[in-house]
Amino acid sequence: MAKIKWHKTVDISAPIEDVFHLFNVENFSQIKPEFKNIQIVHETNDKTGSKYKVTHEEQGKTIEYIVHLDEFKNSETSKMMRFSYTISRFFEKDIQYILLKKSQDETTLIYSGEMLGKYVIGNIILKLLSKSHHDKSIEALLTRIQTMYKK
Amino acid sequence: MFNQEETVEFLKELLSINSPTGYTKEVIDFLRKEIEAVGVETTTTPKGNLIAYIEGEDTSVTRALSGHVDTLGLMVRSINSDGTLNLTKLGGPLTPTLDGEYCDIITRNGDVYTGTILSTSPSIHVFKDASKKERDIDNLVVKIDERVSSKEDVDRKLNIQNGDIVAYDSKTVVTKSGFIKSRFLDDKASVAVLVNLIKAIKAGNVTPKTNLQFIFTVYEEVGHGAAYLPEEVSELLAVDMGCIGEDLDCTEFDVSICAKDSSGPYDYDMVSNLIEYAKDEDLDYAVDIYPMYGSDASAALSGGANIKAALIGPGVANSHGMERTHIDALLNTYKLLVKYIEN
Repeated sequence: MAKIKWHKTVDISAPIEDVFHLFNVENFSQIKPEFKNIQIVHETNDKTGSKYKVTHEEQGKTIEYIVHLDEFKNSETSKMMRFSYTISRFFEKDIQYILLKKSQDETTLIYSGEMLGKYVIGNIILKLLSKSHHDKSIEALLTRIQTMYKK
Repeated sequence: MFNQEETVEFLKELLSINSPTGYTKEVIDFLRKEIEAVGVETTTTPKGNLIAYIEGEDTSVTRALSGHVDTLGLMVRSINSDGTLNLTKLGGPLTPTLDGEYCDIITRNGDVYTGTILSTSPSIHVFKDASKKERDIDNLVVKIDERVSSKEDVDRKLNIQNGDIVAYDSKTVVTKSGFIKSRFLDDKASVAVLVNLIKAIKAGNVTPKTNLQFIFTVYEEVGHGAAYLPEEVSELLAVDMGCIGEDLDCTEFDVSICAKDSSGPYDYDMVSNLIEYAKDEDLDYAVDIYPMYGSDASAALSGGANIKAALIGPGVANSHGMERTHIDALLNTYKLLVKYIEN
């Protein structure tokens, strides 16, 4: 089964709560502009087990899928969100965002995850998708967040 | 519309997942991901049924379509002194067809061992009754593909215990002529059609008249799959394999409309409408009485649901044995479903 894995760490010049604010449903499209709409399907009290319907627009195509928040942890010094979803039935994604308080005005973001190909088509596409192309999209996401708080 | 290639590919994938009744979490999870990948909301009931929700033009009425993903299977009944496994049935497999089948033994800690289901007189060179011995559940055992020769070996080395699941191979083959030969087409063939329908609705190719709940049940093979239905459902169309055989008109190319099964007649108006729809669409169809059959619709009615209910499905030959249907039966079922949900 074709698989792409990533694990990236960046420092952001902003307090942890400010960065965490970006991960709210209403702000998340600032991180991922391709997420045109996020609708809460079901939200639990502690957020773990919540479900969201995402409308995703990319290269002129609009697709919808359901995203599961499988794990959510929130303390003063660290935050963790682990999501899983299947896109267009051919790709399964598990992603994790960890925020760590580095100082009063600095936060470390660890973005990791893996994408699996499903069926023959998903595996072929994932094999054809160059690692450098995928790395670029991850770098773009991290740079986007860093730029928001650049001094 | 009906995407034949995708439906067959999906069906093959579905058939490759072990899902004997009572062991269905993996298949339900697979199905959930497939449905959520096109943006359809789902919930899983405490029993394990998966419900997918689709909004229709008239949101004041909710109809349900059901298909079951649990299959026939076996369970370890006891372990013999020679390390073979005695079996009990999950549902009603046609046991003579099991002799010689390869199987997985799934332990409670998640280990999977392979084995072969064999008669207790398995060799023609050794047992005088090898050909004549009745292949009932008490004369079939599993020989595990491990170096075990005693009950203790099986217990201690493999951690296999009474109550472990035994799932036998589906042996799926799709022929160039369009036949689908596999165990467990009952009812995974219908489930593949229903999932294709969900995708067609999401793609804007089909517009449901009312709200729909697609209910993918477990425990149908033991009679209580859809025994619980959400309160808002007023009508249930169970989609399950159509019977083929003596005294029945259905073939492997048809969609079967069941007028009555062992639980009694289905809703008169629903059945009449389904027959009219099949005629309108010029489908290959048959109306039949199933002599020994119960469905999720009968389970729902027996469970006290205050609903109208009916049953249709692709014609499947050799049920509970080495089953066979044809892609045309899936197509005819799909077309009848489209007509039903658009009216």
